[in-house]
Parts: sequence; structure tokens; C-alpha cells
Amino acid sequence: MMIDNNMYAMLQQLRSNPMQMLSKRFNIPQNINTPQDIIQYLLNTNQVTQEDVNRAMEMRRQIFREK
Amino acid sequence: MAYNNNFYPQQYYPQFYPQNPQQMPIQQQSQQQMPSQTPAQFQQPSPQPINSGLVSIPSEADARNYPVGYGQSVSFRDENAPYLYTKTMGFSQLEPPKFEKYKLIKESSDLPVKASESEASNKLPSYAEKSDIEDVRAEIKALEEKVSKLAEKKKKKEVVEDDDD
Repeated sequence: MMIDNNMYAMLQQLRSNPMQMLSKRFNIPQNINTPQDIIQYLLNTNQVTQEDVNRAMEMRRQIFREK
Repeated sequence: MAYNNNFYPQQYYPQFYPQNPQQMPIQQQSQQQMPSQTPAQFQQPSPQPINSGLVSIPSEADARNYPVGYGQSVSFRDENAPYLYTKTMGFSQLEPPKFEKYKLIKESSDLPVKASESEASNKLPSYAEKSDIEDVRAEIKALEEKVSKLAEKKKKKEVVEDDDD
């Protein structure tokens, strides 16, 4: 599979600083840096739905339960 | 199968198909033809937990801190205590979130439903009907008439005895 150079650069950036990458992607302000605040910001700006959040939290709960 | 001039079969990607076509490699974008159908129909559904409407949380504090969007309401079930919570957000930042707590009480299943109903009916006082009261009144009236007749007979008898004397 041929990977584009842009995609490779994005992957590298994601590995080195994932929070900065996500902040850029979703236009999250710099002062919001905790997961709870980020999720609330994404909800307030309608970038994610409540169902998305519920599903993600449920998956997180199951993952941590299995550990 | 004949194809229309404007219709091309869509390429199928069984494993991966991003939502945003801009993220796809340039070579794939040029090769792909875009029919009127949306690509999302060919996505394999990822395994999702069944959403029963209740979010399970370990404690009340987690429910209070749970992220809820404006104008949304989420219900929670406490895994470690018999409580249900609901968190409702207003439509603006000025309105504080509304948090409600409900206690779950298990009803006793020892008594069957029919016995409990008969007990309830026994507790109610028994009232007489109007027809019963009318019958009693009629009996009383008949007795009064009898008594008055007897009293008249007795008076007449006494008068006759006095006259004989």
C-alpha cells in the first residue's frame, strides 16, 4: 500500500505530539487540555454527538475493566 | 448487464473507507468514480455495544462529571449502589446542569397479586344500600301500626270493664 508523504508526516506528528495534532484537527483552544474539557468542547461545538461520547465512554469502561 | 453512460460500478474497500475523502491517497481519489450513492453504505459496521439508553457508571461523582451536550439529557445507572441519575444540560452556558437522583426500591414478591387485592378490598368499610334502608323503614312502620292497634284494643277493654263495674 502506497502511503502519501503528507499522510506519513501526519502520522509522525501524531506519534510525537498527539494532543497538539488533535487540537489542530478539531480546532481546540490551547487552554483546554484535559480529556473531560476536550470532550465537552467537542460536544458544545457539535463536532461530536452525545451518542458518540456515550459509545466512546462505554468502550473505555470495557477496556479498563478487561485490564 | 448493461451500464448507462453515466453509471460506473463503485469500487469496494472491505477494510477501510474514510469518512473524509480528502484523507485518501491521491491515486485512489483519481481512480474512484463518485456515483449518487454515498460511500458510507459499503462500510463494515464496527462492533458496538448495545445502547440500552442507560450509561453505567461506578459512582455518583462520575455521573456528575460526565460530559453532556447542550439540550441533552443522559441517564445513568450506578453499578455499586441502587441509584439512577439523570443529568440534563440547558441550552446555554448560563443555565446550570440539572442533576436528579433516584433510588431503586425492590418490591417484595412474597405476596401474590390476587391476595394483596383481596386484602385491600377487605379493608374497605361495608356500606348499606338505600334499598336496604327502605326495607328497614317499612318494617319499623308496620311494627308501629301493630303496637298502636294493640294499645287501642287494650284501652277499649279497660273501658268496657269499668262500665261493667
